[in-house]
Amino acid sequence: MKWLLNLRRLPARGVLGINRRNAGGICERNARSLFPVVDDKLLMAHMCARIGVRSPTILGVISRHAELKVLERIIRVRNDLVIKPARGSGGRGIMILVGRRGSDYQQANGRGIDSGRIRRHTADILAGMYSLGGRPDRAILQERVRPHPAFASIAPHGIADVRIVLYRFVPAMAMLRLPTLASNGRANLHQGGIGVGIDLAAGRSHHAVHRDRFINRHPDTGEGLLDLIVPCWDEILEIAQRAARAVGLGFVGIDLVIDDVNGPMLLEANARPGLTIQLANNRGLLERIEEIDRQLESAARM
Amino acid sequence: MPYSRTIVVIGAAVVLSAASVSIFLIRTPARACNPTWKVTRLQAGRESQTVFIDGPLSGDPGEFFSDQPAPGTASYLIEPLESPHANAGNSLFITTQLQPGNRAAVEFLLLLPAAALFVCLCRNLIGLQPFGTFGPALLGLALRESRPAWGIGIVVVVLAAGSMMRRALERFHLLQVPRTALLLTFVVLILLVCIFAADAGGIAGAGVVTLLPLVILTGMIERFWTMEEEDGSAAAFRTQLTTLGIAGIVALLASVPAVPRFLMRHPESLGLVMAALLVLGRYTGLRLIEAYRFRALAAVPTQKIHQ
Repeated sequence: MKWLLNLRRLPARGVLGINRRNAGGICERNARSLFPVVDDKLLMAHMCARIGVRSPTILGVISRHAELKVLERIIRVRNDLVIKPARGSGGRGIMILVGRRGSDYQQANGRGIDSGRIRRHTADILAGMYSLGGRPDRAILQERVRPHPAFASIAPHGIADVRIVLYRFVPAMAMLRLPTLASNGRANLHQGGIGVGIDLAAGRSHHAVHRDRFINRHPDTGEGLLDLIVPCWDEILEIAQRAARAVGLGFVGIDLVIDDVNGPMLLEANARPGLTIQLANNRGLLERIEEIDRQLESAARM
Repeated sequence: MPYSRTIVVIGAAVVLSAASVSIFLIRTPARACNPTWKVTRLQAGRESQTVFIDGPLSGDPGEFFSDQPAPGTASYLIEPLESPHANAGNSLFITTQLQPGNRAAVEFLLLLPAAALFVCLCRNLIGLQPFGTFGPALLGLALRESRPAWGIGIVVVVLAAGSMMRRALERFHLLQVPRTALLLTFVVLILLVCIFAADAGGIAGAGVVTLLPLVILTGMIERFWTMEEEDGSAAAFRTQLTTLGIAGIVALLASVPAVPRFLMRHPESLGLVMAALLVLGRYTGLRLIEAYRFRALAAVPTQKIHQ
């Protein structure tokens, strides 16, 4: 029960809690009217096109039940794609197809799937099974990102992504998210993904956390996770800043992936970014937020 | 800006509390100074005569009766009454004089905000995450009506059977809304079986199971299934257990007779509930669970961890 003392100790270390994030002047910088843009991946993709930021190409959108027939025709021709809900969250409802397997299709997690189940999964997306608040949704067919070789050894079971949290459009913290066997190919931390803290200036990893504990090696492969260099780091930061300004949220998490061919691509923005990034960086966000406030104030005075 | 907002909220909370407490104070002495008593004389173990007395009660209760029995043969039963006289002057919200049916409804209504406050404490102060926002509160209040052990048993049976049904339905490729309606029907079927079984076993009052928030139970089955698919069985069972735990505690607290009795006597305590919710709404400290979750951050900062 010693951890109860953390109620005093953690605020002293500048650790941000959910209550403070949601109410205490941080997400208050985020006007609710801006939420539809970040909550809808389709609107987000349009925004990316407008500001000239690359994002995975959208191959098609299924918005009505009648269009499910088209889906089957599309996947027969192009079976290397991602099906995701436009208004999903937390990586839910995302299906990744990598190719054909006999008359069936192969998923990224190695399992086979027939077209009937793909169609039903898409119907569930339309019915709002994975969308925020259970509202009817659209299904997006998206180009599958080709994993960058830099992450081949540390993310063998899926795609690694980079999460940048920005406060007042200044990068506050960064983390690399790695899927594990336990997280079933998804990089979301609460599902068992690994969070690797990245030094903002150098793009170098310095801490790693898995299930709220510090680790040095990948639990599945045993690969070292520290002192890795994230490729295209300056470009990633630049894209994140441009995207944060475009969505207009004062506190936002920007997720990017690094495609083998096209380089950094914007995946999505999050108006309520998770707080585990603090563990991955062994540092409190509140401390960083105050630092950025001071920097911006002194810059304004000059 | 956020500070001034906090001050306004705290101010509103103080005003609300002050209002409830003053209503409480105004109403209470009226009842204490001017009570009404029902005095029943018992002779040879049977009620022989009853009188109603206004005002303070003192001396020998035998004096209130016109005839005097032989000394030592009578005993007296004295019960306080809350008559219209007792509250003359502030007759607003005298919930104790409602007809039984309305009384139960008012009791449920008064308990609901208190249960909601409890759920808020669990979520925002402790950091528990049940299925649904106020589902656990509604479930808990429904359980209160039944015998708690029976109620919990029925809910567990419904959830377990419902989840199995949900798994079986997966095979039929149904659309979401008809599928959920089918689950609802299935839940109704289980409850019907429970009622018929109880009736055959001679247990009356099994009808209380119909008070269970069926739609909420169905929603819980559906969300349990989704979560099991997405986040694994462990996470789904943990959330389910949290939900039932919160509902159970709500049921326990609400079935302590003093709690509904207090709320019925003092409906003005809704003001206190609102004040507490306002203050809780501005609580920006860490949740209890976060103190555990971020425990690794509490250690002395190290530059780098090397093996």
